Amino acid sequence: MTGYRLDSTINMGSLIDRRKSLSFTFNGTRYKGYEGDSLASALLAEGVMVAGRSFKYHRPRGVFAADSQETNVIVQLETGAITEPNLKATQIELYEGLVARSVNCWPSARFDLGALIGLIKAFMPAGFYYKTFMWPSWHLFESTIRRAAGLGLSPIQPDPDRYMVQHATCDLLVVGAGPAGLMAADQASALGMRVILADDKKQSGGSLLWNGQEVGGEKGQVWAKNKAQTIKKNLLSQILNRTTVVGYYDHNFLLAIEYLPNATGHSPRQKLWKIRAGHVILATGSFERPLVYAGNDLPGTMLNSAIIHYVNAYGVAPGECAVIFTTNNTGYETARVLTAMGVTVRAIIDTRAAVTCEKQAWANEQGIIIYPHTVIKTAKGGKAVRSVQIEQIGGGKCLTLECDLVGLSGGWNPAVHLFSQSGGKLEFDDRLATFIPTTSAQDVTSVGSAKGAFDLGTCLLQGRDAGLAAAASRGFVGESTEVPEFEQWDKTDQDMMWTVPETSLSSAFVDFQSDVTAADIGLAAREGFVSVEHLKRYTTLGMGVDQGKSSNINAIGIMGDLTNRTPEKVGTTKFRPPFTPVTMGAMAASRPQGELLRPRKYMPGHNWHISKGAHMLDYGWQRPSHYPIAGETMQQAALREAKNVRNAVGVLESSPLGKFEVMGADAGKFLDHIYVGTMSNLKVGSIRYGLMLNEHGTIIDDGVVAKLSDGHFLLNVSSGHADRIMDWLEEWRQCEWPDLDVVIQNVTHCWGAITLAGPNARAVLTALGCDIPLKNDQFPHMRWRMGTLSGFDVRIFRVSFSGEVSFEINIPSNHTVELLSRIEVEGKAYGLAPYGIEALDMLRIEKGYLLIGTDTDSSTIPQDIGFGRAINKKASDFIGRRSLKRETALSDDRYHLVGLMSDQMMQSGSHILDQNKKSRGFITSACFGAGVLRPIALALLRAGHDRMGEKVTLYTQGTESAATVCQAVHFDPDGEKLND
Amino acid sequence: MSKYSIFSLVKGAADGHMKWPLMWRAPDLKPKYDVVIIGGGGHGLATAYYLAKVYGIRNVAVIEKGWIGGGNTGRNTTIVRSNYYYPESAAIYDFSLRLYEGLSQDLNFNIMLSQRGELTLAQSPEAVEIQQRQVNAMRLNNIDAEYITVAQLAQLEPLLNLSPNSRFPVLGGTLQRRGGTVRHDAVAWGYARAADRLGVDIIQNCEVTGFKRNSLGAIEGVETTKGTVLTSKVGMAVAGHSSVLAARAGFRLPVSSFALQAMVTEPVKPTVNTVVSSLMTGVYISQSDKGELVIGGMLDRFPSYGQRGSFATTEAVLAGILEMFPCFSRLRIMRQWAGIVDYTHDSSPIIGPSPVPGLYLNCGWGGGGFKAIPAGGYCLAHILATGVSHAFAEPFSLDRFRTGALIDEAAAAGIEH
Amino acid sequence: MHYIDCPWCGLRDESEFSYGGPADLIRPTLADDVSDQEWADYLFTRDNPCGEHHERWVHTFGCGQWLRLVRDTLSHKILRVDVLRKKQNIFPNITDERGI
Repeated sequence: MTGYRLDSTINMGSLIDRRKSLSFTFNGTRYKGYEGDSLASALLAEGVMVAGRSFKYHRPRGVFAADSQETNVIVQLETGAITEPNLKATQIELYEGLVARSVNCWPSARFDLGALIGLIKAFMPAGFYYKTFMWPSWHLFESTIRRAAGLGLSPIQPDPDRYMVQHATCDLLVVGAGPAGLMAADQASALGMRVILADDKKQSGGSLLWNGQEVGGEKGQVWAKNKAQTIKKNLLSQILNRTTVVGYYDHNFLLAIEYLPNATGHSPRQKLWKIRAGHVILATGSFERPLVYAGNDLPGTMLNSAIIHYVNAYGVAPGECAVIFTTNNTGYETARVLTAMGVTVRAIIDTRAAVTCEKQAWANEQGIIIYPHTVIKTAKGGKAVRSVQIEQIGGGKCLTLECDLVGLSGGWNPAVHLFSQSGGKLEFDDRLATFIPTTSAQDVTSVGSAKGAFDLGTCLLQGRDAGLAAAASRGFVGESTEVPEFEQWDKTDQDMMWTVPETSLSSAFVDFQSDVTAADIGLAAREGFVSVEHLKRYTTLGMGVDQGKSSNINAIGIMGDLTNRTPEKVGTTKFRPPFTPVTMGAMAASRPQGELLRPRKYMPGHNWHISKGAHMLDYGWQRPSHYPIAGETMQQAALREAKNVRNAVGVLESSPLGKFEVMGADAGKFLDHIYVGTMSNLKVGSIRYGLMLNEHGTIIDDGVVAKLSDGHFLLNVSSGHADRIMDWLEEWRQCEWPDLDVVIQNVTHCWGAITLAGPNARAVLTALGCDIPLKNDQFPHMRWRMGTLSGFDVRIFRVSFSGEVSFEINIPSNHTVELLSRIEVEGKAYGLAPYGIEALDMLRIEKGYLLIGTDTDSSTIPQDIGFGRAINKKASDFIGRRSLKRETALSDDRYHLVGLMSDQMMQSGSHILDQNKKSRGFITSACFGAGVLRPIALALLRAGHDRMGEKVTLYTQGTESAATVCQAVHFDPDGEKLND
Repeated sequence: MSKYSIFSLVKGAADGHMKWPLMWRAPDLKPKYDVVIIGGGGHGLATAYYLAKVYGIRNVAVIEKGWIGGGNTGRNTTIVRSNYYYPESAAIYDFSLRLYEGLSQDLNFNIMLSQRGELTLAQSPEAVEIQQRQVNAMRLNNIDAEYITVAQLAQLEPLLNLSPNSRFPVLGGTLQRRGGTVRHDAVAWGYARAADRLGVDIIQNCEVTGFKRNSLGAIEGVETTKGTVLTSKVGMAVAGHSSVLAARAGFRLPVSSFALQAMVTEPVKPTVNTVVSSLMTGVYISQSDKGELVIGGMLDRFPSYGQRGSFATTEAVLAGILEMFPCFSRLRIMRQWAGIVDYTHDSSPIIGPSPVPGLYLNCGWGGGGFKAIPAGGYCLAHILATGVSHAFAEPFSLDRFRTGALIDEAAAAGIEH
Repeated sequence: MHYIDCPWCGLRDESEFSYGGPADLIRPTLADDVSDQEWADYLFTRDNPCGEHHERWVHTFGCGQWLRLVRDTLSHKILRVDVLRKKQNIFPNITDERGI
């Protein structure tokens, strides 16, 4: 037990509320904390030292950082449907009843059997798995390794929570509400800019919330609060707290995630912000680096900034007896804070040879011993650090100091992640010993410690000036705000040390989570993995859930040392979004999901069909597949319905059929370009069938064109392709033939369509009361007429997809149901029954009417379905025409559309074999023919037009059967019924 | 310790792993090579390896502009499979998978081939028919594809959303048991190490800036940022940057470059057993041995050489994943990136002669290049060594665009892997 | 995420638009009587530059109009957006210059 909560008389803790006590459970034990605690601070306060285990060697680990940099304490939060793996304990706000467990350890973090792996650690250097597990095969080892890998557990129930999206545009987005960000946002908003200030913490203030500095004569925290108030008062500006900006994309598009605490019921849990910013100011702060020496991962080892954070913000002393190890001045502030709280600071180990007198004097006053030009060579301990061995650089004095807390500061890395994502360039700064942002690729400015300014004064000033400049660049001018007075401490005077000299590299950790040691980096260098990307991939460095925030720069430095290159030459790995891991639920929040993934399309007569007992399926539209009568299967129902069409009359709603009006003086000319056939010479009142090709000659749709009047055509296109064809027609009209006088309007949804098909269809129309002469010679096949039917204005098209006499009635959508009902009543006497898509499919297959995309594929050209002659007759050009003259198009071994007959039912997808059991074709549609009363099919068969009457072998998942090739038209080949 | 095994690891442990040799040397560029290969990705390195091993041509340089395996080889979703529809595709991709199956032993480098099965869901009656047609074709082509039922799917992937009430309910699927994943970096490194041992020079951080041609227009050498090197045969395997290189050689290609994204979640304990893909939403998912869920999907919708990807695609991909696995909504995405892939109109590759004599192409793999690395390398090596196309590569010539003999797998695959 | 300045609608998000191929392809007509290779070049062969690219987009979820963009395929910067129209100019303040 070393960490403890400080007495409230010494330190209240600036972020916690000691009046509100909370209880929580961690690894099965109940603990107490306060409102405002993070899970990590509460664990430290309760003296929990071993709070997690590392990924590879299962080494005991304790709290290391205080923010998104945390690499050690990774937990599974809650259980059941709301469980969430791999959260950093430092980022979990404590709440009453919280339940969490350390991930990847068993039975517990304190006693983890997985740690036995440490016994064979020597055989497991970086990338060892590339060198072994090959014999007899990787498969033998894989499942064991898979089970050992992974951190937490995935939820296995659907997420009960909701996520939402919010779009925002602003003149200026400021990321980070620390001193620099607040100054920038305040300045810009004062000048009238629309500002969004986003910060990942509950309160604005950034480092001022915990580092105890004063600004403008008041506590930093208070100053920040007031500043935030000022910004919020401006109605054009807003501050988003608990909001992490995670992605910086092209054209100043940024993503942020707002965490909404206490989400219940329908209130969302996380909100995805999509922000389009005129300018962006990155005031994202910086991350402290650990130091690399043997045993630097023992619980009780912590970043110096984290120690200050826990003391000031949470009133927690992370230990009772500390040794501070530093390359810069941060260590002295840590010592000062700890001493003030009554924690013994045994020594400050400073790598610098010359330490400025001022600090020395202060430490001496406090009775703290400073060891200049000295390092911690080794830390000792079992499940927590017990002592450190220190040694002067270059040999000499060696000493062991007992302690239970080691504070580390190896320098500071600006949080350049977003800047790098934006395309900005980084440069290594020798003085600061880190990478800093230089050239921007977008409208973005970095300020404060995110730019390498590690002192408060510069942060405040840079923030203000960046706000001014951003405003000026977008035309907002005015007075500049005042930079407050501040308490100065300089963190810039610092030493560059990537590994402690002479330390044992194999237990000197660089990436704590993935257990990558300095020795591993050495091995990578020896084996040639000297590129930083190779290093990362070979050692898995920086691939953990902390995304390398603590490890990357140290690794680059170490690799540089090993290969005699500057860190600049080694370079950084690419910074990829997201900045911190983001739930898939939030990332996909603005995409329609579930039922809305693709909204269902309903026909005007939908409810009528339901009332007739229809079984509805999704055919692009919700349509009746069949209308089963008690006990019927789909096949039985469809066969009955199809027979009824052949023998009496059936009614089908065909509203989904695509209907486009094409108008203009050049409409005919335009359609001649579009269709394989000629449409310009069509007569008013007539209808013509046509194929549409793409430029590759492939058939993309078929349908009929009716000429309504001069310069006015109505196109019917397949229901499933309608939207795509509409876009395609527009593209040709606008891009290739913009000079043609033609407009196209999609009127699909304006019209309901009802098809009456069968020998009695005409009689039903007559019974309904129709003023259009209906006799075959007055209204033959492939004509259309306008008139009234049962009192409704209608257009009737005599077209057929069933092979029967068929009338397709177009009626304004809102009258569709009424007309359907009247048809039902009047049709009764003629044996009328509704038929569904399955029956329609039977009817059209037996008639050899093809369905584009089903009976054709991406290589089918008009010749293959018997349209070769139509092309030769046409004089003018059309889309795809030239492709029909290429070598392969003229081959005599093309796939032709044919029919197949068999005694047995055939199946779509079966292949047609040659003697060598190679595929020569396949069945595209198959059914039992309602008219011919035997199994039939359509198929694409190589050179099929020359193989009529041949017997062929069909192949279906290992079984073979026989069939005979025949014409595609199985039923009424001469069209006697059609033209009756 | 130049041969890898459990014994060499034990030996390595004894001396603190201080004696492991370089996996590949860092040689200087020689003035002349028998063959120069542009592109140190999987395809280029495999080409060099097979040239040296199978065809005995060892005076070979692989020239890489950055670091080996840094292009699409190191940026993909690591899927391997050979369940292709057309016989031409099935032949070359299955050749590739067979080479993968022996590759760890062949290279003495564990590439971690994990044949956990590749699953494609059928989510409409039409998809069921098409998949049945495809399974029949694949079986006739000796590919181990099976059409499986929803009940079988439930066994294979217990977390998969198989509710009949989904917007697009799963009605069945196609499984190739030999499909799965491979550790992508290991493929580049394994080939590099094996090629290096056979004498191939791997030159990193060296960019090809131009081509030297003789009076007949044939290749005489290449110009690089490290000087000019003479050679009469050049193989080009630079994926998304093929058009850029072709322009330097004075011709154009029938390819367009797009960004193809991938992303991973934080690592979790085993939860996805196979590689699962949905043609309906165009997304796919598998789990790496480290525990991360590896996710991919459709291309970004516009040409790009920026290796980052548009968020519009990212969110669409993730929505598709949540359709398949609603329980993953609380898992977090940890990294997202993109590779630049070169698409032909028929989504099939180009392997064979270019318009410039002596310059041979290996490009146009689109999103499917990783699974084809062994075969792509083998076939490019074959034509570089013999001057004629390997039988498996013959249908994939540049000339097919003139004749119209396209091999349109887009219709058959419908998705980038 | 591109931000495209549609000449008809103003600045709109990438997700409203669809890319539609290179802008300046000349379609050979029947009368041109081109060879198979020339036809293949029109259908398939592309500059595919890493850098400035002239391409057409359509404002699918907006005005439905086709536009002509000059865009950098590496940086994704949009250098120019024009109306893709040859014929009449119904909005005289918008430059109408297909084919430059």
